[in-house]
Amino acid sequence: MAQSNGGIRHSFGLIFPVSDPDRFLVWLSMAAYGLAALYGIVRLLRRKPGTRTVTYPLIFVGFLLQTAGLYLRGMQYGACPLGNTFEVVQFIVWSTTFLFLVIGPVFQVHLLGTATAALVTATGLISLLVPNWDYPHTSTLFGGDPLIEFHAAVSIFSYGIFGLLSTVAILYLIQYNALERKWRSRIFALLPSIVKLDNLARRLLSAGILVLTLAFLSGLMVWFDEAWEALHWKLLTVAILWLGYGVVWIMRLRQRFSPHRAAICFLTLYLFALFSLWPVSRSHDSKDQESPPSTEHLTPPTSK
Amino acid sequence: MSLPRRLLVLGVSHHRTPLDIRELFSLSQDDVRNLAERLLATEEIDEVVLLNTCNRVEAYLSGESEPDPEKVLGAMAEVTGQPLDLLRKLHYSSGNSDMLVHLFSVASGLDSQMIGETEILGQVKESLTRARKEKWVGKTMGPLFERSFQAAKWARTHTGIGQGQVTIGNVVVDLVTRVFGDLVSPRILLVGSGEVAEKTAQSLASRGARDITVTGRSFDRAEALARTFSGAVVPFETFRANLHFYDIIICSTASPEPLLTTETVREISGKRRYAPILLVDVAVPRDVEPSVGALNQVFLYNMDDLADIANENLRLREQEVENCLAELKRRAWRTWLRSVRRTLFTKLSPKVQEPKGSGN
Repeated sequence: MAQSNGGIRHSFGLIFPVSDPDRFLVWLSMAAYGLAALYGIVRLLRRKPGTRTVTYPLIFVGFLLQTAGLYLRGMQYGACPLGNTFEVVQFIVWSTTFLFLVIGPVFQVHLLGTATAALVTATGLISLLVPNWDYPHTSTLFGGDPLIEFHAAVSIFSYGIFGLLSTVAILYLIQYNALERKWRSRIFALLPSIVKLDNLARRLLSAGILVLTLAFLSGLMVWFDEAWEALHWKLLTVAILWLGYGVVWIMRLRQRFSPHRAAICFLTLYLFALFSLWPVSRSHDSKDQESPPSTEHLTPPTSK
Repeated sequence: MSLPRRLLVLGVSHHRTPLDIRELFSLSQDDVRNLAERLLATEEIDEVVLLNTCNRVEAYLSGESEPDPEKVLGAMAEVTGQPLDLLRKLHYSSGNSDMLVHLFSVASGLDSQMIGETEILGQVKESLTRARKEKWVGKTMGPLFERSFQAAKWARTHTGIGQGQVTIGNVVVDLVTRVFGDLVSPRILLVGSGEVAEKTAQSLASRGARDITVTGRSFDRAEALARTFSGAVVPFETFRANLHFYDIIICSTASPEPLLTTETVREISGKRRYAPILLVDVAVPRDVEPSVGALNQVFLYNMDDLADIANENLRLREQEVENCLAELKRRAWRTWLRSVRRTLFTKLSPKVQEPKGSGN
């Protein structure tokens, strides 16, 4: 945890606190993801396909370690750990990895494991290396309202789906451009086919839309109940995302939009989704500031 | 061999001439005859073998004295209808022992666009067969070409240039896999039933392609080819009507004009609703307009593109190619020395009158 005994810790300790088992486990999980990505990239540079028997177990170990880390942190709140930017990003990374582990063996898309591992390692490491993102917050994250907790968890899970969708979109754009511009390297023969990637992207988009709709509806119910004027940023960003993905989904369904353009849209929308975390977090902070927590609400210190 | 003889090869090939210019020099069967007759009409040229493939047009010449390259270029320019200055700029030539090195390299596939390919050997043999039939060659060029066949056989047997053979078919299979993932589901149309189309289809079929349709100007040939793949055949006159049903179209006709224009492909692409389409144009002159490649979800590959990919795969075999070329140079030099020795020997014997070959 960022906050320990209410004191301010040295920045190195904030980044890599062995004394905090939750952060330490998250660090270890990033190491496992990083190894999986590194293995896949080295094989790729040697023009050889990576084997799933190495990539999958490494990602699975990383996933278990990350789950344990987030579980420990969640136990301290008694709720899903989604209180600050670090936790939100970690939960998105966790969701993306979870989805990959579920759908990866079904679709058997070459290099999806390597690309996913690279994306989650990069994203996860950024969140670990910026100490300010892991700022302290109240333990009563959702005010004991299960609807808010459901809304938060489902929203972030949809971000995870869109994270994996972006990974697929990146692979699609690389292969598409390699084919169109006639890039000659043998590396591109190891990438998945554009038809397979488009197929997977459409399924992920449908799943993401479904989950995001749930998040949007549950959010509307929350915002109607509470003072939603203070949360207009959150409403606006989720609505834009929902509309954006929805339009692409309908256009693809009606075959009025090329997979190439759709892939560019997926990346743009995902970047918007990640940047929207800032206003979402800000609205959360402003809510916290409006009703300052009492000392007993502060996150309990980690045992040393 | 009856010597003394001076040897010369002169031509244009893929090395210095891009596809869009190379197709201007493509010769029909009548053009080949016309060019050979013009060259043989030249005083210093006694024998001619013309090698005319999609990647090269070369004249192998032999005569009592050094054949004049300017006259050869002039004849080529007249027959192809292209400017002489362009030919001067693009051509290459080699004489005597260097001509033999070049011939051995060509026959072995070392000079090919796809290094190590074997089709060229058959094409060189066909060129010699035709030259013999038309009586364009006498006692010099025939034996030298025979030596080149031996050299090609040696290269394939004793060096690694033919290992893991990179063919147009294999490259197309890789492209199909990158676009569609497998070869079972895509529908394939072969436009033209020539040798290249047949070999490409064989590669696709051996890797699992099932839905192959053939069309060609000769319905019988198309039908025969379709039968070998248990495929279908459609009349050439009507094949454009259902083009949008095909995911992969491989064109290899001898049509002087493009068969598939940008407008045609845009139309079929629209009907396919953004489903990708792979166009492989192995014809020279090209069957598909180059601007088709700019269309969304349309991937167009011509001979040069396929060769670039194939040679990228061959890069690891550079050492083998160097070793092979060194040995071919030694063989060419030995063949040349043997010719010179025979020249000296025949000078001491009564001169044999060698008829100036002519198909007339």
